[in-house]
Amino acid sequence: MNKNEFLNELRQRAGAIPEEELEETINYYSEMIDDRVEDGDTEEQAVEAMGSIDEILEKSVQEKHPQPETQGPSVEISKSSNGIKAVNIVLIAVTFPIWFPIIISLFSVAVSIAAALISIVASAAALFIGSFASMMFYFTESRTAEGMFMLGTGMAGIGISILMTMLFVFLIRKVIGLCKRFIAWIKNKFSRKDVQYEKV
Amino acid sequence: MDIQLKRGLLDICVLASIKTEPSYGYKIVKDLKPYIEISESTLYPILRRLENIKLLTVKSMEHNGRLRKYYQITAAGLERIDQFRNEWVEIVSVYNFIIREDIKNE
Repeated sequence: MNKNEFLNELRQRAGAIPEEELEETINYYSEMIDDRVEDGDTEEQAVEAMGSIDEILEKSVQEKHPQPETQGPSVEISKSSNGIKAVNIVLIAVTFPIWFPIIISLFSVAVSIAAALISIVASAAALFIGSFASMMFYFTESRTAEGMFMLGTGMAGIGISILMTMLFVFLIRKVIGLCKRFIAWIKNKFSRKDVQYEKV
Repeated sequence: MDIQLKRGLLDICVLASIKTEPSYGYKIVKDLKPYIEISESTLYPILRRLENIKLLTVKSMEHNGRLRKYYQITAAGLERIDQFRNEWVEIVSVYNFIIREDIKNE
């Protein structure tokens, strides 16, 4: 596994770790790997020396939420976490008129951008098909100059559709990534204390 | 070594490794390796904790076109090392208590 693969996997499996903390962790391991490579390791060796991703994630969770030492305080903590939970749920319900339209409008912006990109891809593809069809016609008529022009526009059509498809895939990935982060963040807000018990 | 005991010791070791001059993660691991078992993933939470309780501060500096974090000990961090030296005297007396039977038996 190389450095990028390692950091990507770490990012993907981070789950409920808050964004800011995840970035710090990524920066730390990135620096460690770079320093090892500078010291003569290959990238693969350096990545291997970091240990398993499970271990890394487990250690950072343990440190953040140390195991409660006795039965007494742990009951108290779970009580207070229920209190926090209730307050959060009420707050989210009360602010519904504010955040719901925001989410809806963000969603529609995303959908319209996607639609625009798809239509550009479709029209570029049509340009490409049309150009090649007319090129065949001009060549059979021995009108080489027009044929060459059509070949050119056809090529441009392929180029545009490939570029737009790449852009489309990139944007979709970004949006999915953002959604994942958002869901993880929400989860984290609600179940920070519960995570602790699962880990114990 | 017992996990709890090692955990306490590692904190002091990390502070000691930056006692005279600021250092960075990989160097701290390399400096400590001959004395105590420590890995990059063990060091990370320790550094975060020591930073949170203000025994060290962190500064990013450029190195070979990238950023590297340097850890610098604070006055409180130096105090913690001193405190440990006093604790060690206690630990030795506890150790003597623990092994006292063995000495009698010999």
